[in-house]
Amino acid sequence: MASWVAEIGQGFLMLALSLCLWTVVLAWSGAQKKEPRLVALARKGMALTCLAASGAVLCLAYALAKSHFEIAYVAKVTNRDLPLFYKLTALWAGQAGSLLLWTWLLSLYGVFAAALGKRHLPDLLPWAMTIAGITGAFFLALNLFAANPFQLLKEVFTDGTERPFIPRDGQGLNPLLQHPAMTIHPPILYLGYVGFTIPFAFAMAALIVRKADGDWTASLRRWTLVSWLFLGTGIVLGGYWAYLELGWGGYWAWDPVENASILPWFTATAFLHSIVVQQRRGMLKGWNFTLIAATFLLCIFGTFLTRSGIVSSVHAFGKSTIGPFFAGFLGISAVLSLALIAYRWRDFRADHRFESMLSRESSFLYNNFLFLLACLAILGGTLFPVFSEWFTGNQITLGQDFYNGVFIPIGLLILLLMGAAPLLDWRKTAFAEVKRVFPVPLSAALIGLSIGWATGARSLYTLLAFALAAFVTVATVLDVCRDAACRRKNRTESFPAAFAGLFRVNRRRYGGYVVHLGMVAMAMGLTGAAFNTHVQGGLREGQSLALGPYIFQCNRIRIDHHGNPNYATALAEIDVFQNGRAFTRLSPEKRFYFASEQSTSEVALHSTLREDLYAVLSGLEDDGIASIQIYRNPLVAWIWLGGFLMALGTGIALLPAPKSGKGFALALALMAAGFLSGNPSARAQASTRPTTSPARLFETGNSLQVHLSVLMLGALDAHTLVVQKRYRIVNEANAIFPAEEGIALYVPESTIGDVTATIDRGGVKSEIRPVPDPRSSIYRIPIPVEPGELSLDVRYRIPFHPGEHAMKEVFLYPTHAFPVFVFPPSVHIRSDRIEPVSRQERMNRYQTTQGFDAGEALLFILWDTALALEDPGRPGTIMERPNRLQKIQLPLIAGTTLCLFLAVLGGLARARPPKDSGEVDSVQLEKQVQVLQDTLRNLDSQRQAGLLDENAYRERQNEAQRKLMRIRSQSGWKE
Amino acid sequence: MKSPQVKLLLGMVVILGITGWMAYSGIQSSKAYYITTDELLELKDGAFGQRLRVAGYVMEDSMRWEEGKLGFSLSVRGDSIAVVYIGSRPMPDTFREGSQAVVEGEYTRAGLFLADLIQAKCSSKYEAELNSLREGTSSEKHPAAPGD
Repeated sequence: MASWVAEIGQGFLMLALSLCLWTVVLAWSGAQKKEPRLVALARKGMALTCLAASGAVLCLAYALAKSHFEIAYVAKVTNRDLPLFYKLTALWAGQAGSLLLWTWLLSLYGVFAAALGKRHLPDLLPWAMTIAGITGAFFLALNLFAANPFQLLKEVFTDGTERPFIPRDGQGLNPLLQHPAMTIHPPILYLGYVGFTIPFAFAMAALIVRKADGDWTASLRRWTLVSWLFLGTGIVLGGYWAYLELGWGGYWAWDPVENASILPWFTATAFLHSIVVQQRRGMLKGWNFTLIAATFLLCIFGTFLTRSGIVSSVHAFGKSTIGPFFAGFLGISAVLSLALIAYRWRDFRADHRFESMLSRESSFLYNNFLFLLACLAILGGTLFPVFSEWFTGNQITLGQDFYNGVFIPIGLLILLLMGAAPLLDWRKTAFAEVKRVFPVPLSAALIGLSIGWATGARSLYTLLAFALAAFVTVATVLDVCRDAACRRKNRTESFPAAFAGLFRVNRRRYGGYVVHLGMVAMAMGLTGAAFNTHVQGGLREGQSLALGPYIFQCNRIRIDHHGNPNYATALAEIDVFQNGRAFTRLSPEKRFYFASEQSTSEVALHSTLREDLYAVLSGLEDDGIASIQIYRNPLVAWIWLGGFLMALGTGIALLPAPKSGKGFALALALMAAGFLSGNPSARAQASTRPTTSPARLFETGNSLQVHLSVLMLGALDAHTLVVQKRYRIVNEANAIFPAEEGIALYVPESTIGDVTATIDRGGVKSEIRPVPDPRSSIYRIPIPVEPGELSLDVRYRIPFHPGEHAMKEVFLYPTHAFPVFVFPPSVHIRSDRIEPVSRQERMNRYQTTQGFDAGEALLFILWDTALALEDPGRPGTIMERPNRLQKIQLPLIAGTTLCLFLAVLGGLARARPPKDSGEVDSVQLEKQVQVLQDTLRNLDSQRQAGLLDENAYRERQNEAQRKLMRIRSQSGWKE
Repeated sequence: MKSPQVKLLLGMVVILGITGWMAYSGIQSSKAYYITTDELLELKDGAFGQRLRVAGYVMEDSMRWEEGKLGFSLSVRGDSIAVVYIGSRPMPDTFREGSQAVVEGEYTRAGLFLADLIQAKCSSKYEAELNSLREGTSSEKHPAAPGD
């Protein structure tokens, strides 16, 4: 039976592609003929495309949620026992699904752009829709023909016949992706990547209609800011995920895929600064168009890099067939857009020239230069293996030394500019002004330097980072305070009111300052890496490690496999003492995921603003020794804090002006909505914690269910492991499965001695000797499975090798596989650990039941131990102290971003002209200031030329200066 | 007096020069030839005394832990090379026997590869075709066959 979900999904995709092509044709002819009716039709086409794409996404989501394994993508990225939340997020866990998400987001952006463009940029809209439509059609075509998420699984026989194939279970989601940060990181990153299509489309449209300048650049900047925000937050969340999930104590490794995401961020950051120069001074126009095109092209390039496998990376999707399509698309759009820019270069004549080194526009120029330099250096490093292979035949890869060596100095220079630029004036800064504004920040830099020295920093870069961080912070805060003081004086407002007034009038500027402070926080967090310390060792229960003022005592090692069908876990409880006093408890885990047969480390983290304590359980070795890594990473939390400030500042710059308290309340409400929507991802982690319900390892329709309810592992000695399992077999079908078919059991070939099985049918127990199959290591248990329930205990021994992590059990009724995890060491039983049940009591219990042999008793003791240890309220131990900071980090960043997304869309959608009042205000003021300054200068030269007498000169000069003062005080404006 | 344009340009040239120099020294200190084990063995004497980044599959039954040292054999299809890692970083979760790994370090004349960095690719299972699913039993019967 063909899959109806796949059919419908496929249908939606085809519909979307044809609608998209239709939109392109309509928009293009509308642009050619300047016919508004065609454009209106094209807008409808855009909306319908989005609807169809949404239908396809919904179909895939439904197929994932309902485990339609006949669809190849679903079988590849999910399995039955995956929690629903992760089943849904598997939508972007693989190549085809994430491309579909990409396409869908693009169509969504397209609808918004069409709606807003109609109101604000009617002359650019048709062309922009054409360009965005072509991009959308490319992605839809890719989804249909090269990476189709609805492709069905087929079985091909040797004679060439095919038939549909439906696996019983999927391969499971990569465990590394089963993390809340990972569920939200890709969509946010994609929102960034995809979003740059819209400013690119409008910019190219502007070039086509020869409108390189004007008010519409405010809209361009706004769109770019939205995408920039998502890209930045996506990158930060990616780092956060890597920090928590990859377990190597770091967050950034200059991996090609990470580099690919930061490259467009660099160019977009450069653009956001240089567009200000264009708006204020009419300079750098061609450069801005180049930057916006470069950003879009780098986004496509990043996708190409991630998905084609030309550069080896831990993140890459692996070799795939879609590389050439991307390369082609990238090449064509690069040639066309750059050619268009070159063709229109004459339109970009600058209105002014650079007048001085010490001016705002020069610092913007340097900012651009540095960002571009960083971008090129990292791009070069990433592609170095490719180029070196072309030229020398050898692939040469570059390591951390290269990237850090190049990027750290550039980053420090950017930091310097960040502090200095706001202190400089447009056009030219007088030396007197420099003397007035620089001393305080400079002395702050000195203080920062000495703080760095006092904390033990000796390397030049680290010391500079401390100094510059202090410099930027003080310069920024001082600047804002000065403006506020000026406003307070001239408006007789209270200081907080003046402060709020500043943010209201010129949100772009002060929002930018908040972003700058976020960057300083991030820089400090990155600098903290210079002070990282770590210690590692193999710990038994009761043993400890020391690091700085901390002692890490391994309190207990626990293996937990109670009924979580998704994974089993080994957990080390480490009590942390600071200067001898109880501080916290860290519980790093090692998980084994059944479906994907992969293990992952779940780090335990105690995060404070001062430092992170980060524990990894990297393995359980022989004899119950847990190998533990402890990292003490100072200041890491500041990176995430910086990410939050970045989002907040961008939000301030983006939000529509709150005319009254209503707007503010709306923003707050959206913020709350964002937090609420950020929280499910945090809850999802909790829902995957082990529960005590019996494991449902697989089910085969409703006819026969097999549950594994007990899984006991124990070591008889250092070399032998005993495995005991209890299966509960529920036959709901009204049929007897005869004994000849029976139950077949696969045990490892290395099994020592006999395999024993006990059948319990409604309290009647019988021992059965499984029959070994002469050709394989399958044991047959000749019992009929009658309707009803029966339980089966199977026990066997295998030699224990430390390196052997997992073995397989195959329950051949019907043919199916499921893995069972065996942790390499046995749990060590120590009498003092089994408090709730006394030793005597336990012995009595076992003696009263039938005669257990030593091994069996051991197994049950183990079981009891595990149960007893589950009891949380054991006296004399440290209960886990809530680490609020760590808990709020992710919801904070993700929630803020989500809320901003809502707010931005809401704000963009509300009928506001492209230029909001704040920007108009400042632009007009700037012009007035310029006029007045020119007047003053003219007066000077007139007096020197003898055209004015002294009195007239003084009078006019006073008047101009008075006006200047008034403008300055009105908005806290600095010239 | 020089025009501001010239001064701006001069500043950029200085920064460019410094960055270029940093990039050059970074390349010198961190460049590593990216080759497979087969290519390493073909290099013979040429392989010594430089930083290499070698890709291969971790051979089954070859991993040995010993007092903070990790030893294993790496191979693509021909002969394997012996790798020893001495360091404190925990191994990536995806690093295990049969998985694809990249080791970075130096090849010594004793025929031992001294690695200071180990990276693992996702287990072959993710890259494997869906065939493994179809066979119903297990993907473990699909080890990362060298050379497939």
